Amino acid sequence: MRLRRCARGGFSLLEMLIAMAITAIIVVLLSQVLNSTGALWKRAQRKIDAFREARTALLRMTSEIESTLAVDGLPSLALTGLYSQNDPAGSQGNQQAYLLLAAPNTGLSDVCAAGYFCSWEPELGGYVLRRYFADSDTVARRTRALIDADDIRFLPRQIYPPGRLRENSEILGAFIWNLRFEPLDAEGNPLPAYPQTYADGVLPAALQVSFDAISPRGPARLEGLEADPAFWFLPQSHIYLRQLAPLKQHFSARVALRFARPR
Amino acid sequence: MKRRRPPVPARGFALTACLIVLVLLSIMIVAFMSSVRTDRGTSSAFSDIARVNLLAEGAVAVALDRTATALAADPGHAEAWEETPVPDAGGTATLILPVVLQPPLPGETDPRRIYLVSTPERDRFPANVAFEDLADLDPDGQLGLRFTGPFDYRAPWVEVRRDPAAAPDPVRNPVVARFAYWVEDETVKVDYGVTGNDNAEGGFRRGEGARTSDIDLGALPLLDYQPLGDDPASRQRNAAVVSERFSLPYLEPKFLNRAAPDPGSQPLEEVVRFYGTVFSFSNELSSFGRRRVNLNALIEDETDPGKIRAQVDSVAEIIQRDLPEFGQRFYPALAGPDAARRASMYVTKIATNIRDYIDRDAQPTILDATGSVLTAPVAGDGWPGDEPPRSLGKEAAPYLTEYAWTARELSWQRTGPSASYRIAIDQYLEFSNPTTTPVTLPASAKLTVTQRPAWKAGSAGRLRMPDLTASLAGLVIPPGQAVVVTTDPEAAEMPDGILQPGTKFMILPVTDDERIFAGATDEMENDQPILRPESPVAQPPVAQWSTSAGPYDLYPHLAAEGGEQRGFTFDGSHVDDSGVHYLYAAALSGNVPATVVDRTGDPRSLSEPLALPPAQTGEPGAVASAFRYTASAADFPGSSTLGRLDSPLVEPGRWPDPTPRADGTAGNALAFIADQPLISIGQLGDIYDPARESAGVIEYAYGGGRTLAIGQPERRREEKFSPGWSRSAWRLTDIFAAAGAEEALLPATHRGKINLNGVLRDDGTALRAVLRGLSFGTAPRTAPALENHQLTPEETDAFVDSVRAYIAERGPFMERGELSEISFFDRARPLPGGTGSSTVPDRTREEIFRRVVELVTTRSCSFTVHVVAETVRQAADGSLTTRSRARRSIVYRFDPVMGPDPAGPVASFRATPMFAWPSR
Repeated sequence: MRLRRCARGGFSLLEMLIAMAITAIIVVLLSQVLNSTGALWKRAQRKIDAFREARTALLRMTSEIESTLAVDGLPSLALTGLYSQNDPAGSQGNQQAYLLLAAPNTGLSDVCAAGYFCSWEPELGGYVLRRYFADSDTVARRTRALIDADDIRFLPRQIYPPGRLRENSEILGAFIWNLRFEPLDAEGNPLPAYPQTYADGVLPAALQVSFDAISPRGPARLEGLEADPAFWFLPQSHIYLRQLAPLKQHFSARVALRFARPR
Repeated sequence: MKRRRPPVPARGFALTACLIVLVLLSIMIVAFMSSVRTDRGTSSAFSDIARVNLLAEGAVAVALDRTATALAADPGHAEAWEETPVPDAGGTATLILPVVLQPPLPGETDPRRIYLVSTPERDRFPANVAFEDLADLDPDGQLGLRFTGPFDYRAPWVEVRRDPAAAPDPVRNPVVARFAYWVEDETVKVDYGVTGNDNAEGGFRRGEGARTSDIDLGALPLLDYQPLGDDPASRQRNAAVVSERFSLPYLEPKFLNRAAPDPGSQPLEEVVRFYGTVFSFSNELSSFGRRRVNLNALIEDETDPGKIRAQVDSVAEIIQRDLPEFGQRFYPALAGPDAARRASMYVTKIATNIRDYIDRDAQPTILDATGSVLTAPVAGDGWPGDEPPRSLGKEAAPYLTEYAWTARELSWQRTGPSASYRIAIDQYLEFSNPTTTPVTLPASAKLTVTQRPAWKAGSAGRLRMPDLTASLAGLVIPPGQAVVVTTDPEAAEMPDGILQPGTKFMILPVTDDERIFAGATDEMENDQPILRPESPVAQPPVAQWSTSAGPYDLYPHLAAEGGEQRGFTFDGSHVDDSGVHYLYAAALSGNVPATVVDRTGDPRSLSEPLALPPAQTGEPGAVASAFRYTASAADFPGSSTLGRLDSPLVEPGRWPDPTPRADGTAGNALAFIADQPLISIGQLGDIYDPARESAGVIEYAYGGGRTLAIGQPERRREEKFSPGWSRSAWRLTDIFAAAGAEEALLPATHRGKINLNGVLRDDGTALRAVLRGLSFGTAPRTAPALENHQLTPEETDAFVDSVRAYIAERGPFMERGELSEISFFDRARPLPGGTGSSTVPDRTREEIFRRVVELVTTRSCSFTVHVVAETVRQAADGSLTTRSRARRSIVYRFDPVMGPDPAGPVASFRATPMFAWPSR
């Protein structure tokens, strides 16, 4: 009687060894690819994060700056360092812009105030971009008080009071710094340097807005920068070159002011 | 028997692994596809949003381009509203569309129309577009709020195809987007940023119509609209709106909500949106595209003849430049050089009257026959009939209207062939003021009478009273009254009937030596010593004013006829006869000595010389103006009106009558003299029209007894846009303006005026706001029938109805002065509400016109562009599905850009955005 070979399925050792070897090779290759992809993804994600926040912030800023109202008798656009508290970079490092615009709000009318500035956040260890906003009731109240007092010399500081900017602001994006505003005329030439206040219905033709940003996830590996705000404005420093430069994204937009009236 | 072994089940996991891999791959693919779909959707949505926003911006640009083109294509344009029927499911719907009208091209009669809404074909509204296919620019109905029903902001879609150059095809070249726009004229609304007078008590103060702040906000329906009268709620709200403006200017429309915030009610701005704005700017250019000339800046007080002439010439040149037909208002059929000469002379006379109406001095502007401005009196008999002055302006000056002497024999003692005598001669000079402006003489005013009575006393020779010079400081002649200036200290005791009751005197401070004369005479007649009348040696001016500015301030008008003797015959027969005097009087008698003049005779023209008749014996009835009178009124010939302005020349409070002087009633008119800057360009209606009839000789025309027909329909009604259209007097209001005298070149835009043509849109609400705000003071500053009057609701309604009827009959108003042509200003029709007077029928209406015309316009330069844009998907059947939508509402101001010459025509219009609505 011929023994029949057992028909039970299975792999021989050799098969197993070959399969395991192939699998091992594949796993190794895959892990390398995955590692590489992961690193790439992380970098892309950081860039995307940075772009997302910064781009959103930039879009919002440009949208509002574009709508800056030319209001007779009032400072429509103030490029000034009204906010210096908690901003070690001061106006030379981070510039500020405040403006009047028509926006939906809970007040009785439409003319509101908005502003953009960077503040140093010790807990974060970096700069954040803030947006100040005052509704139309607030703007009207402050303006009326000034007109009643017949004291319009300090209108910009009254409509955009330095002491209340931070508390009435929201964060548009973290790790954003080197905020700059450059007014331009109709031919694109720079107008007198910052700071500058445009009042009585006069506005520059355009405003160039720019800032630097890194992903909020990036600074987890930053060392030393979180302790010293000054490093963020020392592009030649070792720390800056090693840690910020590889992560930094520069954002810039030129905004034509809709209600521009030449000075 | 073979047992068939059951099949061994397959072992291993190759298939399983394969399946798992397949499943995983499927999941990955599905996830990937899902992600791709999501990304595509997101990308597409972003793309749509970006595209539709770009399209909306593009639509705004298209709307701006059309509007700017419409404004610049012809400066004679006007913004109007037009009713357009469109097919609707239920029949026909009527759209009220904004349109720019331009004068017709040569050879055509209909004005050109450029619609301020999107139309597929440029400038033309489609004929059969259905109502439901029109884009709704105001889906929530807030813009179109209207108290008589919904106001539809609908305009045709402009479709954008994938390939604009290819033929339309739903499949191969479908519609991918579409847009529509509506350009809203802001001047059809009340600008609560500037309107609504206020006073210290917080209430609305009606005004004279000179400023846009006189417009009554209370007329807006939202402000608790009530008919005219006491309306505390409306006034209170009105005052709140105004007072808010002083604490904080209205930066944008919603600031109105701060005037009277009421948490429980609808925000004020939402209610007023259809009727109110803070962006109402009108174009202050003439229909010829030039800045209107500010008469208040052009006319200045001046004594230099060259500069005076330059002012007159400037006014005349502007008229002739822009209205070349104007000079032939009453000579339309005349042609050739003679027509041109007459036209030029007519315009010069108008210009002279305009100057004297505005300048503050009392010196009439006089251009002699050569055109030179006279600065020194002309001695003698006034104007020779063959060399009349070219122009003689009317002024609020003392007019010498009568002159009289009285002479009394105080004593007469005959001694043989001679007699010693003592006589008193007193003089009476009646000065009148036939104007609406009080005449007040300056402290330096002096009266000099040089051509005084003379007499011959035989061997004593020719004796003559010395010239008289006396101060007239402080003499005031009220409007329409006369004052007798006399040397007679007992003038007030003259019997009634000699001097008019109530005569006002000014007794000159003269000594007896200047009025009482004594001597002896051996002149004999009929064996009686007498004093004979004697002619003066020369013919100097009889009377003249002099002030610190020299003898220029009053022109002499007392002239003698032909050097005749004038004086008295004394013979002692009336000594101690206190009731008997000799009166030697002269009054205006007209056209002396010219005989060809048929338009003078109007003392308001200041061209009328007084005639001194030849010497008379003093017998009653010998000559009407030289007579002897006694205490008995029966002896008084009755021709003297000394002390009263010649009846029926002037009565206080009476106004120019529209009828020709030939009717005998024009004499009731006071001349309107402002002697101050114009407060309304409508005051040009006060200017004397030197020639009202086609007959006559323009050279001699100074009066006419009628003002320019501004505020009254022209009697010679010209066809609209015809060449003779420029003969209408009201067209002067288009080329001239009244503003602060410091503004030589007026701004090309003005804020707050109301577009007359807006009545179709708002049922006349804005126009009612103008009418409600008017305040009429007291005569003569105000027409008597309107004294302390406010227009009644009936009158207001009649006015608006009249405007609407005019638009329906003759088309929209092209110029503000065209308002003169509405039936409301037609004197043949009674005013509603009983206002008006049968004796001064037109004056009442003219006065209303004068107030209104300064507050209205026909040319807007601020517009709100409402845009809706959509990206769409077109199905094979042609139907459209909206993918995304964007809206824009932006206010633009179109500022005129003048050419290189500041006084030249506009070159273009520049659109400047003023405000963008954040949301609707």
